[in-house]
Amino acid sequence: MRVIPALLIKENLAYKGVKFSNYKYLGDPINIIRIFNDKQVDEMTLLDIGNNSIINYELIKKISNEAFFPISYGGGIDSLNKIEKVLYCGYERVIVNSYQYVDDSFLQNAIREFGSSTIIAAVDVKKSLFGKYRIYTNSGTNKINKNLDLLLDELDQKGVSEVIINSIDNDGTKKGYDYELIKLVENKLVNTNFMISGGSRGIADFEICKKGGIVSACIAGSCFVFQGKHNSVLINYSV
Amino acid sequence: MICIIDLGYGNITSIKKMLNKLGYEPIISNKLEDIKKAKKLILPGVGSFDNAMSNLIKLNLVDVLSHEVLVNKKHVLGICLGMQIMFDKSEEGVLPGLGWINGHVLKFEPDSINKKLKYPNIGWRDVESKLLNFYKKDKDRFYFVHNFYCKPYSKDDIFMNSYYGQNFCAAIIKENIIGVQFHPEKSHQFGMSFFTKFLEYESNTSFTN
Repeated sequence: MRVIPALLIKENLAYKGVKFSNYKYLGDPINIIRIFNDKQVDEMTLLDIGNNSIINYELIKKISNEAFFPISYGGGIDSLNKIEKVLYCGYERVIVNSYQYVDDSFLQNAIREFGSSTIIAAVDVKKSLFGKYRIYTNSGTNKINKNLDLLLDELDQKGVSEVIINSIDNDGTKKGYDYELIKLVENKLVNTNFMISGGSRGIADFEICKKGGIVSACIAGSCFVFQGKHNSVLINYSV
Repeated sequence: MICIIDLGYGNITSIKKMLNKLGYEPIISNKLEDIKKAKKLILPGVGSFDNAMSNLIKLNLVDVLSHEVLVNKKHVLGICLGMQIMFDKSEEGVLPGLGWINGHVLKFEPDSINKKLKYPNIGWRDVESKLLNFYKKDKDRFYFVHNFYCKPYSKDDIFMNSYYGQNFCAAIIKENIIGVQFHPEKSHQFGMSFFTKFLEYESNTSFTN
């Protein structure tokens, strides 16, 4: 199992939020990458949470050029041309989120063009008042009318490299992953690896996930960048 | 001169950046004269097999590359898909590969014993390496992302083996040709040390001497 720090960027700077809002400024992403190099992180995900209909290729190129570990990029991916450009900036894999619901065949087209190990699908979910998981897009702002079970069945057939499951409710709360959600996804994604994201407390969650042997990777944000009850900015993680 | 062959996309800038860090100034190019002038060639690859091959065909590079590698015995390093296209054919596509290494590229089949294993094979894996003058390290560790793996017909061509539900060939070596399934450019100091060995080895000599 892999442990993957997630870095969020907006207008050239790095942030981390809670439940997809209340973003706190972390610093210059390039400096963060240098620290991650020194700490020899295994892998990273980079997500642009800004107005990302336009991808900031200059910045993401600088970021990837600095990193001697693999990075997956997500944010604003809505055409094959953009995927091509992102790969050219030095990324191994590209994350598709909102646009998979706009164009049903987009993931398949992307897989055909760039290979199945290159394309990751991300799904953001939030529990409704009645305890049912709902799918959201556009950084959690837009609820879409699609059944999660059905979506996972479809994704399992499409042959994407991996699926990222993001719990909006747990994001940034450091209260632990949503294990009920993990269970649900496990039963649906029989052929496809998935990474869990949202709520990681750190080692405790990584150990549970490792023991369970279900998720292929734990994505974590806050526990790598904040420390103590005042959430002072750390960008480091000591065990 | 080191030439990283530009196939339109791929992990090119990461390779260049790591080489820069090691003190080399590679060029990124798909021009015939650069490929002819270069002492060392790096063939990167992210994408699908047919896509990479049709790009090579479109750029008119198949013959010149094969000539430099097979006739002039120029050192070449294929990375990930760049290794796979050195083979005869792949289950991922219909186009023939470059055919420098006899063998084919196969898709990982879901493991019947360990049903939990899913593909692609993603992450850091240990590799076991053949001991050579060129490479005196029997164990190493690199980052992999792949759905397909190479199967050379001759065991002699295998340089490194790794394991993911099954043994698979993680690297090949044949005279002046090296191919690696992993991404040295994303493998921290392990990758840096690998590149250094490839780049410092005396040009046009066989890696298996």
